[in-house]
Amino acid sequence: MTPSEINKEISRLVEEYGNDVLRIATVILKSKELAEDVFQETFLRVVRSYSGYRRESSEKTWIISIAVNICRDYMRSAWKRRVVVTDDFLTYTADSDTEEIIEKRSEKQALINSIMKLPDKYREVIHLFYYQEMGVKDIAKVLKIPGGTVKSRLFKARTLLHDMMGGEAHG
Amino acid sequence: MAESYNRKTSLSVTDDMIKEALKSGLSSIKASENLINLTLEKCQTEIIKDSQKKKSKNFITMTYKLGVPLAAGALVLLLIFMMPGVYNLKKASSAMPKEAASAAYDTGFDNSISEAAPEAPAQAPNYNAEISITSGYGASTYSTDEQDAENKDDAGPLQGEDELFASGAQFARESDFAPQDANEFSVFLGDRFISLDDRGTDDYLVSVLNSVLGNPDSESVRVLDESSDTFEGMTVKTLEYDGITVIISGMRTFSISSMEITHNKYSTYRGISVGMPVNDLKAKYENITMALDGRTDPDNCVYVIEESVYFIRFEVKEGIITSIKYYSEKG
Repeated sequence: MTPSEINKEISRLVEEYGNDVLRIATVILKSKELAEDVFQETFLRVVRSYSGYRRESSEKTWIISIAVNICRDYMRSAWKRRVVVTDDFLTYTADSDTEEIIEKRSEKQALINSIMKLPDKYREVIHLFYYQEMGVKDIAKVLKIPGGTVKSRLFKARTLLHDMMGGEAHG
Repeated sequence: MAESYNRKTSLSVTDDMIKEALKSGLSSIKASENLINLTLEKCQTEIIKDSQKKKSKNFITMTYKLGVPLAAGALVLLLIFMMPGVYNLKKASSAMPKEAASAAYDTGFDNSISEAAPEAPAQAPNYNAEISITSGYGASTYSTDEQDAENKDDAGPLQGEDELFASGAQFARESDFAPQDANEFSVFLGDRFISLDDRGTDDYLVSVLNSVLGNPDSESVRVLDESSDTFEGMTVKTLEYDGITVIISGMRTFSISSMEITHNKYSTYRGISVGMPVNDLKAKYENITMALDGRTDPDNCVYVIEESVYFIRFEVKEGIITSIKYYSEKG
C-alpha cells in the first residue's frame, strides 16, 4: 500500500471507530482528557501496526483491543492511581445531555452513575457487551481473558448494578 | 445472548435498561473535529516516517535478494568449471560469498556439509568458506577451510561445534525456522543472544532458550480455548529464568512473543541493562520517547522504543531502569 492509501485507510478507521475508542476510553478512565490522549495514541499505534495486522480479528476488535491496552497502561501508571477522576466523566456527559436523557434523567442517570462506580473490570466488560455489542468471544480476545471469565464478570456486574440501583431506588 | 443473562437472574436492571442508559449517556461523547484533525496529522507524519524507513529497508532487501541468487549462480559456475578436481579445490572457493554458503547450508544441512547439496556428487566439495549462523543463541561459525578439507573425511560431520546448532538446523527445515541476526529486539547474555520473534518448534525454541539462559525456574503452559476465537488451540508457554521471563507461543511453529528482564546480567542490543541510570538510556537511544501514560516525571516513567509491531519498554524509577520488557503486538 502506498502512503496515501494508508492515509485514506486511517482516515476511514478514525471516522468509523473514533467515537467507539473515545467512549471506551472515557468509560474505563473516567476522564475526558485522558480519553483524548488514548484516542490519539490508539490511532498512532494502528498506523504503526497496520502492516502487521493479519485480519484474524475484525477491525473493531483489533482497534478496541489496542485502545483497552493503552487504557490499562494509563491505569497502571502511578500518576493515574494518584488522581481521582470519577466526577470528570459525569461532568462530561452532563455537558451535552440530550432531551431523551432529560426525560428519563433520574433513572438513566442513576444507572449510568452506578455503571461508572463499578470496579474497572466490570465496567469495561459491561461497556463492551452492552454498548459496543461485542460477543463474549470478542470481549475475551480484547481483554485477554477466557470466555467463562467474561460471562462471570457480566453476571457479577449485573448483580452489583442491581444492588446499587436497588439501594438507590428504595433508599 | 444478553437475554440469557436476564433469565438466569431475575434482576430489576434489565439488559435494555443498561443498553439505553449507556447509549444515552455516551452518545454525547464524540471526537471533536480538532481532535480528529490533530490525530490524523500525527498519523500522517508517522506514515511518512514509516515509508521513508521502508524505502531504505527495501534497498537493503533488494540488495540481499539479488545478491543471494547471484552468489549461488557464481557458486554453481565455479563448481562446473572446477569439476572434476573440485575436491582438491584450494583457492577459488575461498572467495565464495557468505550468503551462498549459508544458502547451501540452509538447503539441506544434516550434520555434514557434504550432504548439503542434493544435486552435488556423492562426495561434495569442501567449501573454503565461513558459514556464519547468527540465529538467536549467539553467533557461531562453521569453518571448512582447506586445512580441514585435507584432514577431514569429506562426508564427516562437523567437528568441535555445538551439537545444538546442527540439531537446530534440522528443526529449521521442519518448522520454517528463520534465523535472525542480532537486532534491536535481541536480549544479550554475554555474547549470546535471543531475539523477539525467534522461531522454531516448541522443543527447539525451549532448547535454544535453555542453552542461552540455563534451566528455567518455572514453566507454565496454557492452551487457548475457544474463547480465543482465531487463536483457539494456540499454546502459550511462560518460562521464568533467573532475571528474565520469556513467553513463547504458537501451534506448529512457535515464536518468542515477549521477554521481560529484571536482572542486570542481561542487556539490550545497545548495551543497556537494568540498574543503569536513565541518562545512559537516553544516550544510547537518542530518539527514545516517554510512554504516553500520563506520567511526566522523566525519572519515574516508562520509555518506549518501537518499530512496526515490536516494542521495548524501559520502566524507570527514581532515574534508574528497573525492568525492560520486549513484546510484539501482532493483531
